[in-house]
Amino acid sequence: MIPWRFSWNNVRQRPLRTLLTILSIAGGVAAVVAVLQSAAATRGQLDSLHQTLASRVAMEVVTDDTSAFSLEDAANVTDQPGVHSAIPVFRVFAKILAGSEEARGLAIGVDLEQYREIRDFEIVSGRPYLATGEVCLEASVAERLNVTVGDEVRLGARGVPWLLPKKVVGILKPLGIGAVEETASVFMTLADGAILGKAPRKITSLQIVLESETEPDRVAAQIRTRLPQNLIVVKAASAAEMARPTEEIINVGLNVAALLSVISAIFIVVNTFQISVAERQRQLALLRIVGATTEQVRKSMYREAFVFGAVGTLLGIIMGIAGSSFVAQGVQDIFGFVGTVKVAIQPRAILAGLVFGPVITLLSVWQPARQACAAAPLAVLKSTSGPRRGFPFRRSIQTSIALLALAILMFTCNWLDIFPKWTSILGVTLVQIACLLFLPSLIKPGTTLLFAPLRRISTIEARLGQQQLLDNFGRTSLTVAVLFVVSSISISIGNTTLILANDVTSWLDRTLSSDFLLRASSPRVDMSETDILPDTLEPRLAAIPGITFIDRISFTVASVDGVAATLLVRQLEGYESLPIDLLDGDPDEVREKLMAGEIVLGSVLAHRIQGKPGDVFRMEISGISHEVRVAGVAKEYTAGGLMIIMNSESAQQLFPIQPPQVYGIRTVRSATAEVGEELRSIARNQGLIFQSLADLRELVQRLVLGLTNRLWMILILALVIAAFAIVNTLTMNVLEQTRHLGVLRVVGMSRFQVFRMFLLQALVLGLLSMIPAVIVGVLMAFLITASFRGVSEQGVTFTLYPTFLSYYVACGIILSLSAAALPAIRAGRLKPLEAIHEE
Amino acid sequence: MISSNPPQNIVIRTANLSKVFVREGVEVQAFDDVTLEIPHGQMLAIMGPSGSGKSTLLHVIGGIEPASAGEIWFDGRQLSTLNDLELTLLRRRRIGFVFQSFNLVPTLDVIDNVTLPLILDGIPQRDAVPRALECLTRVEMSHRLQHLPSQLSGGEQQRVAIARALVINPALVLADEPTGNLDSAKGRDITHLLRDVAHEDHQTVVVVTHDIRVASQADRLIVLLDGHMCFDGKPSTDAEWMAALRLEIDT
Repeated sequence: MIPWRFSWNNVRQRPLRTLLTILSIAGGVAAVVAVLQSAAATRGQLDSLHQTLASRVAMEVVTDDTSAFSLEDAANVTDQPGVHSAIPVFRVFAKILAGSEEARGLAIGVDLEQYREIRDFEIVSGRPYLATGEVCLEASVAERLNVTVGDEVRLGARGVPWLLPKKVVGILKPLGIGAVEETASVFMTLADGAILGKAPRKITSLQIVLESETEPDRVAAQIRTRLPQNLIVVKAASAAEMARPTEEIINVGLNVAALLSVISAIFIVVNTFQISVAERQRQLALLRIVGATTEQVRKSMYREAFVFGAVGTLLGIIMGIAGSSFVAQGVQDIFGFVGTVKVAIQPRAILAGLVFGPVITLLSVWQPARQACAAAPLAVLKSTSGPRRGFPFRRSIQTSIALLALAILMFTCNWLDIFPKWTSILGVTLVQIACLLFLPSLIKPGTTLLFAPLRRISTIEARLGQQQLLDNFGRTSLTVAVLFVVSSISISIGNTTLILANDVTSWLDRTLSSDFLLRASSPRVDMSETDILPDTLEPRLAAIPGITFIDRISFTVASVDGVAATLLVRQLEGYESLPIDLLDGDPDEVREKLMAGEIVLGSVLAHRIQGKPGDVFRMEISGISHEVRVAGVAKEYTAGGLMIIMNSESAQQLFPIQPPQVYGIRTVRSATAEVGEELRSIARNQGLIFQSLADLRELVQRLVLGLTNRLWMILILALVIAAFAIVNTLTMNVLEQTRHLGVLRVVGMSRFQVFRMFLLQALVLGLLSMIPAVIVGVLMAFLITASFRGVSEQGVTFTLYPTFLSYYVACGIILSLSAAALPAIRAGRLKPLEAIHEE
Repeated sequence: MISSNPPQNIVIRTANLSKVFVREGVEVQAFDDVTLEIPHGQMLAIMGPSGSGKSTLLHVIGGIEPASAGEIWFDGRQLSTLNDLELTLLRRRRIGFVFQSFNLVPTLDVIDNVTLPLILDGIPQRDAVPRALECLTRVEMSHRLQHLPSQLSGGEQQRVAIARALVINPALVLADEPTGNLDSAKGRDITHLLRDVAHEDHQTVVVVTHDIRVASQADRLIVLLDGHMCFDGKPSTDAEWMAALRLEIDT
């Protein structure tokens, strides 16, 4: 066995090389751990959102006209096999007054103990209500009204001429992310709720929780047979379904990020070990000459690699955990989550790091060790640059073409919905591997092409630089591969993110045609259960001079062809240009058809039901269904794109539509500021939410700016890690060529010329990677836009961002040149005489 | 005292030249108090046992190693006053180096190795190649222009190295054990070549050697012993040669 001292001496004599090796492993492990940690945290948040939106309620029994009904009418529902429980609820929009303060929100009459079965909450102060006359207020409402336990509030509702006094006995806080989007503001007994809703002893909904592993459609069908004519069963999971498209986009981002980190990490570690072993080939050859067997040499290398791997892995796990909060926050910012989420230590991520580090280290050392042991020791000693092996160009190109063909097949099948959506990720990976295999074939023509103009500027430096890069073909290829992988994936992620961000911005620009918005409460993801605006508001608005048009906007839960969606009703006749971002259909024609009672489908919904202009579908709201014709398909980000748009008049003729929940207010330009002030004051007094177009635009711009800033940080961080590969390669070139550099210095090459030679090498390495990376990155962005469900369903069209690409390439080249500075300075500082005698 | 304005035919002049290396805190005297003048067109051989400082003296004369004390003038220019770039330019344009281990750039072919100093100096390829061809013809290597160093024998590599040294038309050629890695026949050829360079082209040649056959071709012999110059002259008789060499043998 080769003694440990030999390895230890290597470490001591080459501390920088050791540090670089350990840092490469640590960087790779850190990237994997950080992405897995943050992915787990983000997915956890998504699950929580999904769970809360879905609640535990599988379905609910309601009347077909949204009126109240008697619990006895649905009494036998609980006896149905598969039904775990049925919770009666009375929902009514109410006004809550506390002194001079006023708030509006959903009042829920329910038995709190039963309510626990369908929603998570905690009583933060006081106690649950037990008798009539007692209520619990939602915490934020209590805070807004400045109410504490023991205070009295008065409740009013539409059509109730008097205010009902209630005693606040508890403050209640919904739990979970989605729970805050439950707009219920006040909770009371079922009886009190029914009285407030002017329907004593009645309920508005019977919420049904199923036994686990029960088929909801089957149970729903059974329940329907037992219900009177006026009662219907509706699926209650619409919000969760509507959150799916958003979830799918987030999953695309996380999967691509994980792919980026794993591939980059593998290439960086492989590159480091290739160079580290190549650097020591003469030493290893000497060991073999003095009697070490190839087995001993190989074992010694594996032993060293294992130690480096262990140290790098531990360091990487620590770095990964530390960096995961940053990544998680970035991902959550990008996808618009609110609030900082703490990233708990994920055992799976740690385990992945513990496995990934040592495995990838040992795999990385395998090929160089095999190569070093296969070479004849004497030949290695005589050669100053190690043994050379021919690259199997033909085989690599053939494999590359085969993989590309497979990737194209996968994308096509995915696009045609033949393959599951995760195969898109596999397709992207295949494209990457195919391009990587093709890359070595570009090295020789690429260097010739790129060095040609450089030879005009620096003849000998360019010539020697090119010679050196080609002479170390394997190392050059690996370095180009590392930069290529990082850059192409970064470019594809960057370009796709910009496409999405700009798509959202342009969609907002097209659809937001009002100067101001007034709404009663913040909307939920599916836009359902949004509070209605007070009746008294509209006459008051009409009296304000300067207002030219009020669009009465409402959202109603509906279903088209059995798919849950949100119906958006607007008064479209008040707009000169249609405030809809049409993907399919002529705007003038669509407007006419909308006026005639046709519908516009949101892009995701259109994709789900395979709907196109001219198609007819059955649309159902609260049990009332009609056949409706599709006038057009529009890009929609509201309710995850599961949206139907109708004109107000025709919608009200066909369906029971919710009263207005949002007013879109347009003004004469000269009076916009004054009207805005007036509306702001009304909103303040009535507890409404006021938004100006400028506010919304600024909010979106701020979000997009934050997103792009963070995106740049992540992309540049990836480039910095990749630049290690250039430092590695050029340092190796300096070390290997020390003697020849010495000769060049002796025969008259100046320090600056040596420095310039390495800078030119770095420039060419950068360009060799960046040019194909731009092409492949753009291609992947196109494939992601075209084939990833969740992105493509939104009707997002591919756009190229030349400014982003130029900035990215410029950053890449600058970082490549910066990475070359250290080895180039080292080369320039070589003392000719010492260099000549270097062995 | 030696005048700082030497006669016109002097290429190298040193005065009380010393070199001390510090290795791991220990001072090692390479040579001490070397004062000499080397005129144009002279072939000077430096002999001495291993570690006597002869190679170091050659490197100091060539400006690739600074002196610790004393002065050195090249064509009247005091080397200690030149910065790194000026020394580089001096080497590039006025001094040719020949090494025992040839030190050709392995990735460049013969013609590229020879044109290297000219190209480094910004001379266009079209002008550099004829000059290189002329030198390669002189060293009888014009038939192997496209060969890489690894495809040449030791003697051929050394000829190419000499061509590279001569291509700049140097005032001074410094050769460190140029025949050390060659067999006697090839060594003799190289020695004759260097002598011709001095006598026919009037370029000064300084050769460090252990080989008496090389030294015997020189116009002048310097013997260094323990860093001190103990012989400077031209032994013309066997006895004089013996006297010089005995000194060496005794040590």
